[in-house]
Amino acid sequence: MKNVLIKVENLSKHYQMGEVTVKAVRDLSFEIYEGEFVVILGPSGSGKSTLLNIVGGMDTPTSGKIFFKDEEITNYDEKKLTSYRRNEVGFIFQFYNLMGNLTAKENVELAVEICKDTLDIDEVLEAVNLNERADHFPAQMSGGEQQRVAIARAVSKKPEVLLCDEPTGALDFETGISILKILKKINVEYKKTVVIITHNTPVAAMADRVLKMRSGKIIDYYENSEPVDPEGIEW
Amino acid sequence: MKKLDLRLLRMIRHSKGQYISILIVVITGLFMYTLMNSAATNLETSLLEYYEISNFGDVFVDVMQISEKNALELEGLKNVEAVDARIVFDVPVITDNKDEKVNLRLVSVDGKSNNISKLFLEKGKREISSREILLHTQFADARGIEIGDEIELRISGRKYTFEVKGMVSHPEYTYVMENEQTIYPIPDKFGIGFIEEEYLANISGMTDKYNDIVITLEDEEKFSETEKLLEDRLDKFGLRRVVEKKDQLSNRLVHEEINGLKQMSGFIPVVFLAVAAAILAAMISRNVRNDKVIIGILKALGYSRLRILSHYTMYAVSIGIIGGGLGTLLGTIMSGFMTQVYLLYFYIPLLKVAFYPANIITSIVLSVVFCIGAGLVGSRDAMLVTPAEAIRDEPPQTGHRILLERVKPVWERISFTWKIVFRNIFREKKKSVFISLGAAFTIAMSLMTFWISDMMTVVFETHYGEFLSMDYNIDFISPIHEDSLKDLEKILDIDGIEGKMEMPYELQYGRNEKFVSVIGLHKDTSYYNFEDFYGNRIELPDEGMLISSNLAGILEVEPGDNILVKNFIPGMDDEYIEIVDIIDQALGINGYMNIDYMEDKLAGKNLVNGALVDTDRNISEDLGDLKNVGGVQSLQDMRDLFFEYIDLAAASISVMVVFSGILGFVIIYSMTVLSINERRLEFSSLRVLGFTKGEIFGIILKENAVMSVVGIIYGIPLGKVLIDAMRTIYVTDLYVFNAPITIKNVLYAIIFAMICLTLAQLITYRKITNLDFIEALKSRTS
Repeated sequence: MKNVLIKVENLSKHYQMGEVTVKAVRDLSFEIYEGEFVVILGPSGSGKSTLLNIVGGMDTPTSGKIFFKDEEITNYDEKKLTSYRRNEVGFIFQFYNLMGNLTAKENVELAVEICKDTLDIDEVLEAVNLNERADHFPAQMSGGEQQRVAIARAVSKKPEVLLCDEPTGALDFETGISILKILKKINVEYKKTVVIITHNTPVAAMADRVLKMRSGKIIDYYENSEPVDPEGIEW
Repeated sequence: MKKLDLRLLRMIRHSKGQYISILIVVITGLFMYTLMNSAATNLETSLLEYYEISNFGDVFVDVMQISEKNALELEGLKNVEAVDARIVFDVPVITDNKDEKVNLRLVSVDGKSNNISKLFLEKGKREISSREILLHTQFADARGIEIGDEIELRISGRKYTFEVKGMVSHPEYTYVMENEQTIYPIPDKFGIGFIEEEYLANISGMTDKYNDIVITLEDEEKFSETEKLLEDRLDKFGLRRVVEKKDQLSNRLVHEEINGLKQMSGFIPVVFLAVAAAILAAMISRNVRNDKVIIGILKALGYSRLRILSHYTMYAVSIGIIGGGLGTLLGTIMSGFMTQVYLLYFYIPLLKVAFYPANIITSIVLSVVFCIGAGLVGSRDAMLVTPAEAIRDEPPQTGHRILLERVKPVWERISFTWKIVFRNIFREKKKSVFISLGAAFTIAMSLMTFWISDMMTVVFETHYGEFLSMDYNIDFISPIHEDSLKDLEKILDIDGIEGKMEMPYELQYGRNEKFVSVIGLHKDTSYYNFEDFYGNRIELPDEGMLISSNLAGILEVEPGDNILVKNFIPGMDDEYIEIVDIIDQALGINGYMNIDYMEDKLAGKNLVNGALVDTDRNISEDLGDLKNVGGVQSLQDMRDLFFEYIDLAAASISVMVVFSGILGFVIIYSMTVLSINERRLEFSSLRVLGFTKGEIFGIILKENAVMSVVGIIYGIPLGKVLIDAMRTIYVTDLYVFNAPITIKNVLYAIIFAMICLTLAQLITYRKITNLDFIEALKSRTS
């Protein structure tokens, strides 16, 4: 029996973008289980990032509820949401978003030093093959290396779930595959739930479950009986 | 070290130019605060301690003549604690240089000790007998007189030689001014000498006759009641004036200086800290806006809003702490030197230069509070933004036409670059306003400084060049008949002489009253040129009185009002006199009357107690030989003295000019750097379009130039407001600053401001040349 880690109920989100009201997410409901590798697939503007932000406690819904381990996080105040982001969630973004004036290792330490239970930083940097680049600044690193730093930053604080927003979107094919391999490794070796949102359809092949989105709605939902290894993916 | 703190340090290193420039403003502000405040505290505490140990008098009475018995009977009056009667008069010192005029004020003292306003012995012996003298240390030092030296004085027309037995100071002469018309103390030309009472009485023909009384009170607060009692009792002895401790000339001038220092120490640092805070707030606000995504990431990592807020606020706080600390340290060190500079003017033997923890703490707290405020205002947006909003792409800015675009004939003739310039100015209103404020501040402060510089000359030249035109102003020891002046004219071989009657009276209007010298002059006097505030000539009226504008302000009178002139001359009554007009007088506070009318109403017939002399000759020595001549004031001496002191004033004015330049420089430099940093993408796009670095810098230069011109335009009236404020603050009994703001002042201020502003912008050119435009276009890190 799989344990439900995240439960989304009738979630909607509307927001103002300049002079336009965007209905980004419309009445979504689904569940994510512990230890799963989930891919949320959809084109630009389908509401994937908005959904991910709300699930990660970065944004609040217009309506609907989200439960994390049976606790409703949509009720949380700012303090509890901060604690939730600090201890339960690890974010990875398309453009890495590292601090330009901190080295790779310092970027990871930045995340670790506010958490109580963390992984060994050197071990994590080794896991993402960055131990020799630890003292480099982001500007001295390639895009793939920067994304690996971002992964190390997210993983080292031992979150329950990794939320990845187009993690390969800014990378070339080979580097993208290497990042997916690391994410899979973290899912398997560290037993972390990984949620990837992407518009890149082939990535869905490596997921345990896939949610397809369009215009803020889930249009398809399926499980992969035999997820493929990242090395077998092509685009 | 926490990684956010490390980031902060690297942020500071990255923006070191701006950081240091703001730091300089804070250091300057706090330096001046500590410097002036500590100097004021040094002076005040030392002065109070000196007054305490010397039993400084509470009331000072000037009478024509009173016996010791009658003086001591004042001790029977309610609230009078103790009384000491003295003989005080000025005499010329005989020196080897015949052209030199040196005066000594002689004060009679008990040969062994005195109880009120005690002498403070600094060198030699306190005990003196006949033909021995104690000299004020400042005078002795200035003239190189040592113990055992001899000094020759002309007293009542005869030469006397005294042996100097000691150097002393006296609480009534911490600021040794000959009279209220003098601008500065002149230690080598005027001093105080103390002579054994009985001997001085004998040689001056003042046996059992005193003209000066010092009194201590049981309760200082009840001065007004005691003053009335003294006036009633002393009326018959020819009371000239009763002066409360706070109005005693030396005490008042020292306190005016201390209060001036305190006021300046409250005003200048606030201006500097406010400017630093405004720049910091603008800078941090821009940083927060540029770091929007980073703030989102920090929130995503689980950093609290408070921690992120403190991260940005710490930038400002670090400036507050470092600037406050350094400024305070420098100010404290330099306050000792500044206090020493005051010793050129004031003589306080117990002067203590100390560190005042309270001043230091206030200074640092003031600085940190300003910077925390700036930090919080600047970084408040970091609190409000949600993490999701922070990492979301910004919607394109709402575009709209600026007002100028609607004026088609103008807009169509403007080049593409100027269109960018005007659009940026109108779209970045806050930044534009701030740049114009920087220019306005610089121009206002430098205008005020140039005006002060000119004002000193104008005040002096107006008073001693236009208002007064005699060569000598002589006071007689006892009044003489006007006809005797003809003899004097022949003896001295001078071009012209006019008698004057100068007497102290208490003028009263409603609840306001003031002791001043009223001067009686001939109707067609050649030596006084009366003008109103607007420069219109005013004739001395046959009847009534002209008064100086500062006196009119104190009494709150206007032309046509009748004031009560309280008369203390035996046998003369109090009179109501009409104020005919109000005159502009830069130095001193006086009333002026037609001498005939004054004699008739206030002073008695056909007597004069002074003369105004017109001559090309140096008559100082000749005057010294005359028995009845008391004080002699040479206008040429006053002019020479002024130019001696103008150098010192020029030094402090230069400091103020530098400070106003620093303000303008820092504002323009910081704002330009901010502008360059946040418009990297815009400039990169222009580079892609083929703009050169010079052309891009030209855009910034033009934007700043337009706003600087706007700032200069309203900076001039702002400067006038500052000058008017100074005029109001510094109008005292001694000075009236009515000098106009000249075109020259304005031009100098504009040139100076433009130099500072241009320099600030040229330094930022390096930022443009160092900017990696291609990297800026693809950069996603912060």
